[in-house]
Amino acid sequence: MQREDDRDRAIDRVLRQSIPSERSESRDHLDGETLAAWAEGHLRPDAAAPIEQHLSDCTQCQQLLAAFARTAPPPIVVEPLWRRWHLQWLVPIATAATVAAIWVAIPRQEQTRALAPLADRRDVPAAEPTAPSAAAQAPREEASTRAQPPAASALAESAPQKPSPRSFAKSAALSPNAKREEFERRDAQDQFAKRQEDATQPAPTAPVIGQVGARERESDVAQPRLETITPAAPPAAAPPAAAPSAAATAPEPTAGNATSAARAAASTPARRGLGNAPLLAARAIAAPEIRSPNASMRWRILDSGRQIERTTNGGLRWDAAMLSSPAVITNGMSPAPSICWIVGRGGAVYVTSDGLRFVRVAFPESIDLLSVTATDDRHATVMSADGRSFRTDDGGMSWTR
Amino acid sequence: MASARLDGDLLARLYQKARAERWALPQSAFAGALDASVQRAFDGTPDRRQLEKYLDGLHLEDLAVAWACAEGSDAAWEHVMREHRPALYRAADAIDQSGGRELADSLWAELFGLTERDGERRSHFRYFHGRSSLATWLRAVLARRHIDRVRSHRRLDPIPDDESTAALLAPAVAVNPARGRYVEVLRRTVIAAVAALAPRDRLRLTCYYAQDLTLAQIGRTLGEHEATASRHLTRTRRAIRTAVEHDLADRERMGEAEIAECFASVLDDPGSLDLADLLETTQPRKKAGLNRSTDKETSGAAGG
Repeated sequence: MQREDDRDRAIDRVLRQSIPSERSESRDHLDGETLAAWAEGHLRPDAAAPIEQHLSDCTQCQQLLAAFARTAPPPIVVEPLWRRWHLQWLVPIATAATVAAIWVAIPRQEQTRALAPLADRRDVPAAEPTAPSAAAQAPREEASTRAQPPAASALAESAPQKPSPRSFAKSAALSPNAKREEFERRDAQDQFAKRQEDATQPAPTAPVIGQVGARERESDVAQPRLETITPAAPPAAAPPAAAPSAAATAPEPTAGNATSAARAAASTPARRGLGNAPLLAARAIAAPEIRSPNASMRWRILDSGRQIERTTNGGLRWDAAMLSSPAVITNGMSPAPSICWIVGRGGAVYVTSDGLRFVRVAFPESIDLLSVTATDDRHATVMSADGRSFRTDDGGMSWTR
Repeated sequence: MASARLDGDLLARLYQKARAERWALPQSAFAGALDASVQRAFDGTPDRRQLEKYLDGLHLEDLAVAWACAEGSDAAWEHVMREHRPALYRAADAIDQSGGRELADSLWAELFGLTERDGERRSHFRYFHGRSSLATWLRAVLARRHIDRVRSHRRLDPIPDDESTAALLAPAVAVNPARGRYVEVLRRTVIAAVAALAPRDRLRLTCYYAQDLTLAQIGRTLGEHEATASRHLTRTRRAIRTAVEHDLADRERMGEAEIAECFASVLDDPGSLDLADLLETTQPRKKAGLNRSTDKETSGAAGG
């Protein structure tokens, strides 16, 4: 059985031999003007059809058509824009520019996000010109805000932190000094209320991770903060266990008021490779802080927990605090402006009464401690990484579970 | 007459559209150009809508400059010399590298109007009616003159043998009379199948096999893409094969074995030697033609 290709080849061969031998009987041939009009498609269909019929039959006019076809100028080949040699150098340059733009822009965004909470805490109330009047009539929303479930708080935390409308409403009508006094007064009130809660609840239902200011607790950021830092954190259904596991997986000590920059950096690890320097700067800005009831007096944990600094003027100046022995600090709490408890790995517990010199107190076990809750320089409760809590009522001389 | 329908408003609009004032072409001369074009295009008298549609579709600027040249406008001549003469020489070289320039000069002289009739210079530009661009018209006129010259020279040449194909096949007949009959039958049925093709398919086929045009040239001439022309050629060949097979079976009363023998006879025929088969390097197009089209089709273009 012959293949079809063989038969096609046979047809091709016959066509090559036979078609040139065909002879035309026509005597009327196309003139140049008609041929040009037909070639450009300017003829009406009823006029073009006979010409096409004639061309297909008349050998002489086919020769005319062939000669005409050979006179056609070569088509202009328009190269695609990206293939033009003089534009090819644009490709790597554009790529490099894009990468550079991403490198510059994204870390700045993170830095901007890192700075946002600080700006909220310090400057935004003064920067916001107006506030809804209705919000000003809600004097005590903290209770309802605190009552929000952790999940809702986490959602609120994921958005850029902003002062509540009520805060804006109040602060908008105050001078900057008056605003600071207002905030300090409110912090003190909240701290007092917190102490009362701690006193009535020996084992806190929610982990107390550092002393958080009242304004931050209005947005209920304390609980979800750890969850956003460590995605592998257990659900909030078991709060006491959540904090230890979260902090145990975190590479750095995370005080209660860790800023959103650190959270953003932890939640977006892919962006870390884009630029380390800006990220480190953001982390430096986002160093965990321990707040005292006095908003101007704070401590911050640096160098992955190996260094601690204190400020007495709201962050304008930071002084290095001294530890009686080196340790890796994980968390802390300040029940009073000059008193601060800090805990760390390996059973490290320190307390200071002057704000600068931290004295290590004895602790019965060499385990990692993750949080501390204190009411004064004698009463404190620390929580270990394995979920146990230890309490002292004599400034660390003795501990009970 | 069409000129009766060329009212003043329409003429003025077309005159402005043609920018005929650049060449100081009298409006009456422009009207004469339009009138000649309409008479060329329509057998009868077109209605108003047809007339306007036709006139608006003309290459009016080219028409104006051509007729301005015919009227003796120096500015128009300079324009044509600058814009079209180099292209005309290139086209002449493409047609005939040895005598093409002479052909172009001859045409150029007729365009200028050296021939005088009744004491009046008659420019060949008056045969331009604007149905194509001036450049295309010049190429077509040049091609026409080339063909006329070639055919006039052929009259002086010895008469070619009309049975050239049969002569080429003669050795095969001498070697194997049965095979020679098969070749002749197949050739006859192929020609009949070609004659039954649609005019456009037949024209494409003749352009390719008889006139030796490339697929790109065929595509440009017929307003098709090169790949489209290739696909059409392949389909046409297959249609011819199918028609030939049916003809051999129905009219020639051949069985499948005889039909196969017919095709094999052509392939095995040593008499119809094709130089392309032997000199693929010097004449690759003829040999590669089928393969090229087949390749295009088998590579995915067949379905288009």
